[in-house]
Amino acid sequence: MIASKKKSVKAPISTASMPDIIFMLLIFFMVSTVFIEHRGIPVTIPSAVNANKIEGKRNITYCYIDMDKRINVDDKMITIKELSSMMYFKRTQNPRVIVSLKIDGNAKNSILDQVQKALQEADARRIVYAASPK
Amino acid sequence: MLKKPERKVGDFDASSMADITFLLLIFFLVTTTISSEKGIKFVLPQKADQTEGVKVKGVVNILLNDDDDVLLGKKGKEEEVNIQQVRDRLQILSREIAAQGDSIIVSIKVTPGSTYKNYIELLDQVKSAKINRISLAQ
Repeated sequence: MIASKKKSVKAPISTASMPDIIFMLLIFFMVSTVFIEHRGIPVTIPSAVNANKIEGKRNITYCYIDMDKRINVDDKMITIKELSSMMYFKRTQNPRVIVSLKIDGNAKNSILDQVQKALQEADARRIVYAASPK
Repeated sequence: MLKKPERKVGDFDASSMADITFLLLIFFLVTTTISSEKGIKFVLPQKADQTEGVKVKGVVNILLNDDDDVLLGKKGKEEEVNIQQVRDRLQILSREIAAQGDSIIVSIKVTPGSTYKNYIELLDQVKSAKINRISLAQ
């Protein structure tokens, strides 16, 4: 006995619009990409419940400070005296600058005080205490 | 009359377009960092010579010392608290102060020898208590 084969209906998916879709995705990623400009130094940032997302990724300048009070901005090791002039320069370049302080959780607050005074001096007063969400 | 020479239109194969775009797409996919930057926002006050002393009512002091002990309370009435209790204490004080018709201002004072992570914990607790007026005493 031969079972009669069912006639399969061919419904090919048109792939003509495939490049368009990919283009769309490509443009999205091109626009949203921010290239990493720094590596920083290893720090263990503290955690906080109120760690909110920071808008304006392009305005953020990262300032890494580790336990030994070493300061790293834009992959340069700087001293506390240089910080103020450096931030003032950044502030003139971009008035909307946000300084993200990535300070090691075990660092002492004496360095924090010095850094904040330097930032006040430079008038770069919008800061973020970088923290990981709890 | 001269016959116009037939112009050959060069055909351009667009089928590899998708491949090129794919390649670019993969490049951007790989290089994109979707690292959401998280932290506690803060706006520092103006330079020290322009700051005003906080004289108004409703000031609550929080002090953090080298041994990471916390003192909390109105001026002269500070008492030692656990860092985890700061939020609840502040909410109680906030209600008390609001009942008197003032609004709460938290003044945080930290000693140079205290640890940064405790300062963040403290700030986190204050933010959790929904207090927006924070003063950093220097």
